Amino acid sequence: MSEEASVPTATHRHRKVDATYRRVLFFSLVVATTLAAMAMITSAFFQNGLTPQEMVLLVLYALLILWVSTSFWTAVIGFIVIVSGGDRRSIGRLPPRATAETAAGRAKTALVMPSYNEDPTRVFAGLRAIYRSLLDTGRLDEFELFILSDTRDADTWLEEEANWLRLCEDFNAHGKVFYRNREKNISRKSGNLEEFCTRWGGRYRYMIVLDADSLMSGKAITRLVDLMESHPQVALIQSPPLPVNHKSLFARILQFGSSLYSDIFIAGSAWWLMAESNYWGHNAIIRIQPFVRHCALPKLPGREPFGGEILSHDFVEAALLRKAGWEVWLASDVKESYEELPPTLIDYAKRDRRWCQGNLQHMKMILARGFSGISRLHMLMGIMSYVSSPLWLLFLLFTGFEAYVQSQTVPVYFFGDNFYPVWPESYAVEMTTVLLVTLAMLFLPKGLGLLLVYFRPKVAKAYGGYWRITLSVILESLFSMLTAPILMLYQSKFVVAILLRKSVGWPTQNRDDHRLSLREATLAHGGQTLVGVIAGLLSYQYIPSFFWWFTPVLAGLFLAVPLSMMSSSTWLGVLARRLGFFLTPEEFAPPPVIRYLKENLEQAEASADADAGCEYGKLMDPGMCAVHMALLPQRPVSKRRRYELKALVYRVIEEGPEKLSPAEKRALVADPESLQRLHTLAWSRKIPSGGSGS
Amino acid sequence: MSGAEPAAGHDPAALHQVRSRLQAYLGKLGVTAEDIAAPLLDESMRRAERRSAPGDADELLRRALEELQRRIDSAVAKALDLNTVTDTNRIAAARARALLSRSPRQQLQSLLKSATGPSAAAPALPFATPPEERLSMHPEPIAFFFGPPTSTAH
Repeated sequence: MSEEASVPTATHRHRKVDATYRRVLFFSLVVATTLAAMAMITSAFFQNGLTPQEMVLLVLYALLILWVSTSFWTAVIGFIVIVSGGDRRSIGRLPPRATAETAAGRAKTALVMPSYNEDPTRVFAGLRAIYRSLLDTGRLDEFELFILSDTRDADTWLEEEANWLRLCEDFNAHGKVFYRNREKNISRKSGNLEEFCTRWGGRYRYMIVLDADSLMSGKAITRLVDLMESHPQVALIQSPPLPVNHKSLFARILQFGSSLYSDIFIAGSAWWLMAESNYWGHNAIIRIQPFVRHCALPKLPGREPFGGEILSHDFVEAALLRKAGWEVWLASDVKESYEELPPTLIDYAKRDRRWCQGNLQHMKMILARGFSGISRLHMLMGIMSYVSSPLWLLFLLFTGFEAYVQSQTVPVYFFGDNFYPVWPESYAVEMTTVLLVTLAMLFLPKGLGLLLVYFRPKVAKAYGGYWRITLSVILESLFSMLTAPILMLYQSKFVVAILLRKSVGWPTQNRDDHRLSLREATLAHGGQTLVGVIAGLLSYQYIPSFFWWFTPVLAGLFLAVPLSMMSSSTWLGVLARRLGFFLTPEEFAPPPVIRYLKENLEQAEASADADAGCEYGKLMDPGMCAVHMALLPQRPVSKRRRYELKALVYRVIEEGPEKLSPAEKRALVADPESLQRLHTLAWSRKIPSGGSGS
Repeated sequence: MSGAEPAAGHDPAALHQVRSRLQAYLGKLGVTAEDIAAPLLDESMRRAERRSAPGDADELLRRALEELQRRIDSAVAKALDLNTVTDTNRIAAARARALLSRSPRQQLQSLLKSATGPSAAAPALPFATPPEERLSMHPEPIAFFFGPPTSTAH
């Protein structure tokens, strides 16, 4: 396969000019808005000279308003792009370029799903849905599917393998669907993909990277392949994944928000980023040759959390591809690409904790030589998505302090020989305008998303009709307003913890719906409520005028525990759906791939119930043990190791399997002889009094 | 010789329980046909009784299960013309496929029925990964405006 990234064509040059023109316009709007807002706030501050706290406030506000206006103008441009019928220069509308590579025949594409201790039922329900959807396209022969397991948990490992075999059996997919479990999960997800590329990369022209909760229709997958085939200068196309498949109120509200507002943000981003878009780690197609050549990630100098393995590898991989001259696109018109969201506010925060560390690590990468300005901007935006929280917090603290100082200042009406009193000037108009402009920029994108639906009656119906969607937007805005201060405190804590060099490791994500208990919610949010109460009392006591402005923030903190508990409820989520609130088109009329997923999950649930009586877990299952045995490599084991393994087996006999650590369990399950012994042990340990028992 | 006959040193109730447990195990494997299950049970019990300490029902059960597994493996190997020593992965694969397949044609019982010789309809054995076509990936060095560059250690 040839590398064609460096061959400039006339179209390529036109596109560069286009991109420059668009970015100049975009950044001019962002900067002009920031300057206008700054002018207003500065005019208020400069009246009596600038105090140190006002100077800090100005700097904080400048950073925050720059961040807000970037997002605002992206949304506005996206709205205009959609209303005017789409972007003529998007990847989907560019004229194709035939190459020797594409003429040589249809490309083989690997669908790769890295998985790490994920729920096998959900993972395989999704894979089955994707496979069936691909089958519907009639182009299944162009694809192979790989489950790239990094799973450490012994039971999950066994379940994954059994699910893989069942999938192969049910779809007659032997030789089309593959499974491998890495012995050592070096470099986490990026290392997992790298191992795939080095071992099997030569078989494929492209790989589509999925996440454990990804779902993509055959239509979306084949569209991505066709786009890659048409554009040999492109190394990566990111599809915009929409969240689906949720029941909890929290996730349904977020799902609704994403569904309604993300179109304009995606269209806007794609408009000004063009061939310098980003990679979000999954639901994207990658050309294997340039990826293999340029995206083996090095270790960063220094120790964790800033040094060591690169955690948010996706941004860096996109930057490396761009550095090598390849194009990276965001395909805003590729639909039916989905993902899932954390089911509760606490799970959402936990996910943020991991992402936060990865994004903050990019502080170093921003200063890497050779990266394009836009690649640096992607990283900066990733950092800002977390650092903006402590900035907002500081801004609120300094505003409160400034208000307190103002409240303690005794006005002087008569200066020197002046006969007439000098009335203190009020900045209420300027400050209120600043506040309103900021709020408008925060909330207007939601209004634009809603307006877009108003223009299209069929779409409005899919969102539950005009009244329901309007009410849902109001409720969603209220919910995000209340949860914003909670997330602000969480993210501020995360940023500080990471700056203090506290690493997070690689915890598994919780993706299952579960109602939070009062204890869980209090443990997670009690501190935030306390902060809210203290801040409320202090501001009410010392700066009552500020207290009322502060109430939206205080309300969120004060209500954190009940809000988190209530929003984790699947009952409320399902009820809201039944009433037509927070409805999305994917819920109203699910496309086949979502229907397939639902069917698969229902089937898996039914068969799980049938197996619920197994008292010894997965080791008891002869089918699972057999498939595991079949996949284990037969290797000689040293005498010392054999004794160690036997000692572990004796520990199981004497103390029970639950006394072993996950690593010890894995060591036993990874050895065929020990596995066989454990299986026999599981069946022979207790003889039920009734005689039989399975 | 019938394994159902109580041997000296083993409590008949324990023997009955062990046999029931083996039957349950066979049931889990989907082997319910009397003509296949009974000889397997008898032979496994007979050998286990000989090798276990008198009165130790737990050991009897463990040995009987091991015997049963061995007998099934050797029957599968015979059906697929495999070697029980060198082809352990392939035998396990065939057993796995027979146990996890929803197709009745491929179930373990059908495989054991054909255990008198290599079956013409032996199922293809599953393989988890395709042949490798390797590519090499070398860490991309990254230099910074400030500070040391990345190491090439991977």
